[in-house]
Amino acid sequence: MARLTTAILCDFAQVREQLLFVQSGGISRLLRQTLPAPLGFMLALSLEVEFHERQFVHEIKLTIRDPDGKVILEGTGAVAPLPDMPGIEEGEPVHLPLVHDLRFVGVASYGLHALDVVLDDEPAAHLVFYVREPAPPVQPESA
Amino acid sequence: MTIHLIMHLEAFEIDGLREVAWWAESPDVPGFSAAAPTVVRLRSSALEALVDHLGYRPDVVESLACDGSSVATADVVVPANPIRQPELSNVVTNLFALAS
Repeated sequence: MARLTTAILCDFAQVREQLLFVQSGGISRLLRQTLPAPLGFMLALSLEVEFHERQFVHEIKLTIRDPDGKVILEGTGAVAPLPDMPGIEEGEPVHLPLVHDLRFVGVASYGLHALDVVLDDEPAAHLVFYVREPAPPVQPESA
Repeated sequence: MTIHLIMHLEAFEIDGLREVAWWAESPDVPGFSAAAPTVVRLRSSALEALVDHLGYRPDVVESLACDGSSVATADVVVPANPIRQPELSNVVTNLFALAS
């Protein structure tokens, strides 16, 4: 079975030279003065596939729900190791890094949102994040 | 004998609802195709059909029918390049943004 070893919300991520680069990961709170507003984050994923299962295609479903449970984004993707993987050794697991760019997806309500990742029909990750208004600026007390 | 299955992920719209589905074909078995809502179910039904057709359980190697580009559209906003294709794999994706 393929398994999801990494799922993290971050400012930016990319895949370079078969490796996952994550910048400012661990986002769980979005401060938005007005709504709707862009999510402004990316989702970094990494799948680990056992050597003997590298000939299979894997399906990834992504769902984001607002505080009322309404689906605001859903999608299905797939990833498959290439058949000719240079340099792979017998028994070596294959790591498949993926990046979903969600920065321009709109969010329309404040509160707790949930992002779920399903890998091959099995729940693989459940991430939550708050969308909040920024705190009003504190007025300095006059002397 | 090893059978090569080419797996297709397709997006379509029925009565305004967007859905995805999988189907498979094989260059090793002319005329063969199978379809299912998920890749796991497609694998199962394709293997079952191949066993019925061939009379034995073949080894199967799968590959994705894609070039790494998005296969669907969205009403609102979808990043131009939702998934960056790693060098080790084929990737296909679609994201449906449903927010207002």
